[in-house]
Amino acid sequence: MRARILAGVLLAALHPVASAEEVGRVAPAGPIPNARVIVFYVDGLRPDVVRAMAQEGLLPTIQQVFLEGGLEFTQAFTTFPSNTLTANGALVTGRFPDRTGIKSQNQFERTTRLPAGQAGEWLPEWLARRTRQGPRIVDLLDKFAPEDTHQVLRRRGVPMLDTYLGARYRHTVLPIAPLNPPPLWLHRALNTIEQPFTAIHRIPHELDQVNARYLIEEVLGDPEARVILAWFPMVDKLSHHSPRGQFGDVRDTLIAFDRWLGKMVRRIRQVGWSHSTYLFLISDHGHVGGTTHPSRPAGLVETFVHRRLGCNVRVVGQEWVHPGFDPNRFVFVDHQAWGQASIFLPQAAYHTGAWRRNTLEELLAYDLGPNRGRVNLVDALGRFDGVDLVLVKLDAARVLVHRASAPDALIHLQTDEAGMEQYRYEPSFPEDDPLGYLRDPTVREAASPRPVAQWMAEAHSAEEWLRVTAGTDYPDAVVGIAKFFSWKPPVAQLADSRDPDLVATAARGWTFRTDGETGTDHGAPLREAMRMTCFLAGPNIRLGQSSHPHRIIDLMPTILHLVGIEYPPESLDGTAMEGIFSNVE
Amino acid sequence: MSNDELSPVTCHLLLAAWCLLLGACCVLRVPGVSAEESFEERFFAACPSKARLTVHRDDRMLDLHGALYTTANVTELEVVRLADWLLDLPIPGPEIRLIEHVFVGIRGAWHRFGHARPLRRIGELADAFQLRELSLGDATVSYTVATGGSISPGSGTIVRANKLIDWIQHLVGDLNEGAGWAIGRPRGAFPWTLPGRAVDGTQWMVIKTTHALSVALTRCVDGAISLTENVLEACLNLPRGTPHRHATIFLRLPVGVYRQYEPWLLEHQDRLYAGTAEELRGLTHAELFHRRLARRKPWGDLDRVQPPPSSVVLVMDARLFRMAPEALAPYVIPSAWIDGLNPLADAWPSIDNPANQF
Repeated sequence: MRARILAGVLLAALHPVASAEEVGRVAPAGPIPNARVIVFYVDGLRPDVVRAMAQEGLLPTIQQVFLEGGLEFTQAFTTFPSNTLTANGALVTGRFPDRTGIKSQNQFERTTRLPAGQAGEWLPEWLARRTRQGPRIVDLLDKFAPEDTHQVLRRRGVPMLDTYLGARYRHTVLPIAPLNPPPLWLHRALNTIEQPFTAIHRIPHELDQVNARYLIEEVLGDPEARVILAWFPMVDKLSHHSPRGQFGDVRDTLIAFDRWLGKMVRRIRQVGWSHSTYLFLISDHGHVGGTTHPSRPAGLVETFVHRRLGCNVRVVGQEWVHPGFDPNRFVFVDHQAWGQASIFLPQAAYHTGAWRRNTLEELLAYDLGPNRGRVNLVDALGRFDGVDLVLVKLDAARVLVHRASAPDALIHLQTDEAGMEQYRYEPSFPEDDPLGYLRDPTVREAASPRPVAQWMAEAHSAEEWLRVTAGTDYPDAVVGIAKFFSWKPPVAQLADSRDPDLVATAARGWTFRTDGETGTDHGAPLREAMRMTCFLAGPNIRLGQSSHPHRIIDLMPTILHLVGIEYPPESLDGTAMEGIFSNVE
Repeated sequence: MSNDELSPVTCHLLLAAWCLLLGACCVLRVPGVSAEESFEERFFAACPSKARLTVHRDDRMLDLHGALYTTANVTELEVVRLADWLLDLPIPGPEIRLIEHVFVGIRGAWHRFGHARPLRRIGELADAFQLRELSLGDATVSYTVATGGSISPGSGTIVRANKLIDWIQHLVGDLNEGAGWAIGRPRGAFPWTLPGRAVDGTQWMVIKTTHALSVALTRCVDGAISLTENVLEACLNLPRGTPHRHATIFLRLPVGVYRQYEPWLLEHQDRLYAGTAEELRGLTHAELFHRRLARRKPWGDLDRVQPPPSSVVLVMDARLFRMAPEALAPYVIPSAWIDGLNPLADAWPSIDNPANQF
C-alpha cells in the first residue's frame, strides 16, 4: 500500500501541468478554456490619438499587438460623468452608477446615513449615531483612504471583479481595489525610481513605469492569476497639465507607455502565457480640448458662484470665503476632472436654507439674500460663458436638460410591463433640442425609416438609445444623464442626500478648472470625453474593427466570459461583447 | 523748393515731435490701465502686504514629511541594487547592473524548462525566499510609507511568509492528489479545499489587518508632523497679522435699515465708514483706516442736504463686525460688488425681470 501511495505521489509530481501553450493549440468555439485576461488600462487615452500615432509608427507595440493583431471597438463609451472613479465603478462592477452610487470622485452628503442591512442598523439609537446633521465631504481619492471606494461598494453589497475571482484577481495600484497598494508594490516602486532619495516626489510622476515594473516582476507568471488589471494613469495626469494634451507633449508619455507595453508583452511570452491570454487595451474616458488650442477657464467657481452670486464656495481642497460671511454657509461645487460641475446649494435661500435638495421652482427664484434678490439660477448658469448644458433633476423619473441657445428638453425614465427600463427624450420644440439629436444626420440614419421626432416620441431601451446616438456629439447622453440622477437598490436611499441641485457641463474649448493651470479635461458628456479606447487581442479573437456600440459596463461580463466564470446575469447591467471570436459563426 | 514744402530738418523735427507725443500718450495711458484695476485692488493697494510663510511644502527636500518618508524609503532599497551601485561606481558610462541581470537571466532560463509540476514547485520555493527583493527594512513588518496616494502593507516579511505558506499549501495539495490517485480517490486522499480556504482567509485577514494598522500608524505620524508644522507656521506668521483685505467687511444697507441701526453706527463712527458706493470708489483703505494717513472726511453724501441715497455702504474691520447687531449680517457684500458687479445692478437674469423668466 505504501509503495502504491509513493508511486502515486511520484507520478502526480512528474505529470506535467497542462501548459498554456498546449491549451492554446486546441481551438474550441468561443474563448479557450483556462484562459487569462490582462487589462492594460491607460487612463484618459483617446482612441483617435492611438490610431493617429500608430499610423505614424510611434506606437509599434500597440500597432503590432492590438491594431494588427486584435479587434478594435470603435464605438465604446464610458458613463456620465466621464470621470476616472465613476468609470472605474462601472468597470469593476459591470453596473451603471445608479446601482453602485459611484457618481463622482467626491461624495457630498447633505446628511449621512448608515447603509441598510449593516450591524449598526440594529444598534440602539443612542449607541450608533445613525444620521449625521450637516453636510459631509468625502474625497474618495484621499491618500489615506486608498481602499475607501472598494469598501463603500462592499458595504453596500455590490459584487466586484474580486468578488467573482477572489485570489485569482491581481492588480497594480488602482482607483478601486481590494488592497491598495498590493503587496510589494511600494517596494517595487522605490526600487524602480532612478533616484531613491527623491522617490517620494517622483513616484506620483512615474506611476506608469512603476506599475509596469510591478506587473513584470510580481504579477506576470503568477500561476493563480486569472484576471490582471494594470492601471497606467500618466497619460491622463499629464493631459490635465499640458495645454495641448494628447495633441502635444503627452504623446511622449504614450510613446514611453508603448515601450513598457513591449516589455510586458515580452514577459507574457517568456512565462508561456501568450497563447492562453486575452489582452485588453482600454481607457476609462477621453479628453476634451487641445486639438487646435488650449481650453479657456470659464471661472464657474470663482467668477460665477463666488463673485457674481456672492456666495462662499468650497471645492475639494480649496475654498473661497467672503470676509464677514458665515463660513458655515457655502455652495459646494464638485468639479473634479473640470469638464462638469455638480452644484449643491442650501435649499431655496443661501443665507437661511437647510441642506436639502432644491426643487426646480426654488432654483428658478433662488434667494441670495437681501442685497442680491432672487435669481433664476438655471438661466443664469446656462448663459454663463463656457457652460454647455445645465441639468436639473425634477423627480425620480424626469431630468430637465437646459441649454441657453436651444429649447429645453426632458429626459423621462420609465419602466415597461416587463419591468425593463425605458428612456424617452422629450424636446419642448419639434425642430431643435439641447443635445442636437433632432438635427443630427447620424441619428436620422440610425432611426430610419422613421422620422427622428417620431422615434423620439416613444420610449426606448438603453441599448436602442446607445445604438441611435453613438455617432452624435453627445453619445449615450440620454441614458447616461438618466442613470446619473437615478438611484436603485442597494443605494436607493442615498438619492436625497447625494443628488446635486444643478449640474453644469463645460462647452468645447472651455474648462471649469480652478487650479490656474492649462490642460485638457474631461467629465462632460461630449463625444471626445465619452469615447474610450477599447482593443481586444488573444486566441480566436477576430481581427479588425467592430462598430457595434458598447459601454464600459460590458467589459466586466466580457472578462468573466473569457475566463469562464459564471455569474448571475441580473447582477450586472452590462452584457458580454458578442461577435468577437473568429471561430464562431 | 516751394515755401509750402517742408525742409528735411523740419520733417525730422516733426517726426521726433510726433514720436515724443506718442510716447507721452503711452505714458499717460498708464494711469488708464491702472484705472481698470478692480475696486478691491485699488482699495487695498496702499495696505502693507506681507506674504504668509508656509512651513509645509511638498516639493522641498527639507520638508518634514519628505524627510521622514525619504529616510524610510532608503531602508526599502534592495541589497542587489545597492551592490550593483557599488559595482558600477568605478565603471564609467551607463549602469551595468550585473547582479540584477544575473537574476533576470536565471529567471528567463527557468521559464524555458517548461511547466512540469516539480520544477514549478522548486521555482515557487525559490521565489518565496524573495532573495532578490531583500532590503534593509525588510524585517520591519509594521513599517509603512505614504507615497502621495498609497500606503505599503509592509513589504518583505509578510510577503515572504505568505509565499512560503502558499508553497506549503501547494505541496500538501500535490501530495494529497498523489495519495488520492493511489487509493482511487481522484479528488484527493482527504478533503483539502476547506482547510486550504481557511488558510487563505487567514492570510488575507493578516494582510488586511497589517494594512489597516500601517495606515493608522502613518496617519498618526503624518498628523503629528502636520500639527508641528501648523504650530510653527502660526508662530512665524503671528507678527505679520491678517492682511487687511481678509479682515475688512463691506455691507450695503437699504437706507431704511441704515436709519434703523444708525445709533449703533454713529456710536462706532470712528471705526467704520458709511457712505455711498460712488464715494467709496474714490477712497482707499489707507485713507480711511490707517492711523497715520487717516483723515476726517469733512462732508459725505449722507451728510449733505439732498435726497437720501437708496442704499448706504458700510466698511468696517472684522473685530467691529463681530460686535455689530446680528441683523446686519445678511447685508454683507463681496468687495467686488462695490465696482457694480451686482446681480441686481447688472443685466442679470433676475426673477424680478419678466424678460428673464425661465
